Amino acid sequence: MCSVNEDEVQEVISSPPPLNLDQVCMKCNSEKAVTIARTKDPFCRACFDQYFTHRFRSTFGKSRLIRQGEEVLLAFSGGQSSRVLLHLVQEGLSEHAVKRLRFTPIIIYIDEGVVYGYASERQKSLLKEVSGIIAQTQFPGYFTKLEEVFTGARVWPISDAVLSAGSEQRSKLAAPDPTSSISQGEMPGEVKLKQLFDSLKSSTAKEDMLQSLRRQLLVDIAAKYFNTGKILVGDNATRLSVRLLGNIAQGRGGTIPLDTGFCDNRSDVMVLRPLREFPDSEIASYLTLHQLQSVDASSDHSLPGSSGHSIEGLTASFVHSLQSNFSSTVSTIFRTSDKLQLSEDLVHSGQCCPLCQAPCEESFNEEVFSHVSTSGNNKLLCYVSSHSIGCRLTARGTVHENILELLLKDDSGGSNEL
Amino acid sequence: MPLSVEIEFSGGAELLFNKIKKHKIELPDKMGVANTWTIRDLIGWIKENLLCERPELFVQGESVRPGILVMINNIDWDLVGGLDYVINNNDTILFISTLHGG
Repeated sequence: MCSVNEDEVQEVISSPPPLNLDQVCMKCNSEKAVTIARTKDPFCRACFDQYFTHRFRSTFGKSRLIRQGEEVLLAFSGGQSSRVLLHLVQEGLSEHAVKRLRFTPIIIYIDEGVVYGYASERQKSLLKEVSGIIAQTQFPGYFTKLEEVFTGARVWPISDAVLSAGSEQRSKLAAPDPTSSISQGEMPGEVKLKQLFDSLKSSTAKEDMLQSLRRQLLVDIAAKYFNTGKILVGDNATRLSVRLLGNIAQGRGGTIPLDTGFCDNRSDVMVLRPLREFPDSEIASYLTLHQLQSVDASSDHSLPGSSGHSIEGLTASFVHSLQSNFSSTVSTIFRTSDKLQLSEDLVHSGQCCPLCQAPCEESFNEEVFSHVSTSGNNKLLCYVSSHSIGCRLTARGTVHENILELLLKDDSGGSNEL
Repeated sequence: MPLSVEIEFSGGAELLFNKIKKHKIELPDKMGVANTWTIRDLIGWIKENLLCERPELFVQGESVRPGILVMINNIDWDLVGGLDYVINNNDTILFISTLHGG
């Protein structure tokens, strides 16, 4: 049954779905449909909202991870998905919500301008825009900078950004960890971050590094300042499908359940993905129907000095173009990821990669390892399997070993029991 | 009769159009038999007249690049005919890009 009949495939592509103009909503059968969800179902606005909210809630509900009154960190980039996430949480906590959500969100924004090479003006206006959105929600909001990953993960209240665009280094919550300030040396975090990214050769490595740093910073902040064990992120189904395929290509196949599942518990602080059931077309529909403004930092999100042809970028265009002809592409890839589990060896390995913090097998290759660390402290860089590349490849380009070492401080000391 | 149409870009698509989100445009009369504008025609027109940079990030063939969602008067274009939708006077057409990285 696995053979593909060429003629059949051709037929599927060439015959577009019948043009059923002015369709009615498949749910209430009375209102005119305005959007398409679940690959082909026409929905009217009210039913779409209901469907969307319900699915969001059930994703949360099924997991039973968040306790009543618990504080959670909500990572808000200003982009479409996290904008929708913020709105859903806001609606879910509002007075008129049918079944109210029961946690208390704290919003955090990471300024990544240094990595993208934005001028400080641009950075400030982005921050201002994002702050404006956060301020409207009335939730406590904070911002940080990606370079803080080197300097004790400080945060600033978003109100500072509205007033001064965060130019001053005053920090109310920040009590920089003395140990980290000793090891950081003289270089400001900004320079370090720039050097680190300049030293990475491929676009894939840059994107991968950005993702790891972002994750690490969020986890640090959640644990240090807010004492919360949970972070909500806006990863949607399309992005997770891309990540699934991309990560296999990058040799991270072993940790796909962590990278794409609802709950990523590789470190003490869990990263939760409540939007993982929605493809980005539904996210965009929701955004439009609710007239929400998102802040889009860049059009194609390519990092400076990269060709834009990273593994993740190419995988994304592959998935998108396949999706446009075969509308169940994303859901198919995505459902596959639900069935994957971490191997027993990994669960009990007790070792984790200091960069991506994923568990790794004990056996490691001295030669690659010594390339990364000069001082010979035993840190493993992501060997999910002996053939994997993952973080090793990402780190290979870093000529600034001292910078990387900083990053690899003693994070592995944390528990990684799964 | 020229058609007046409002075109909107969001989700990052506006960055290809000088960061201007809303454009009010007038589509001129078409010479020839069918004096109608379809979305297919409009995409071609946008490519020629509005697009400022990197056309490959917006168009692909005669349609928009996969990953860009089109809403016509706040309705998903697939529900009203997609590329073959015939544009009416005062329509609002939104192109929302869902192509983003990290």
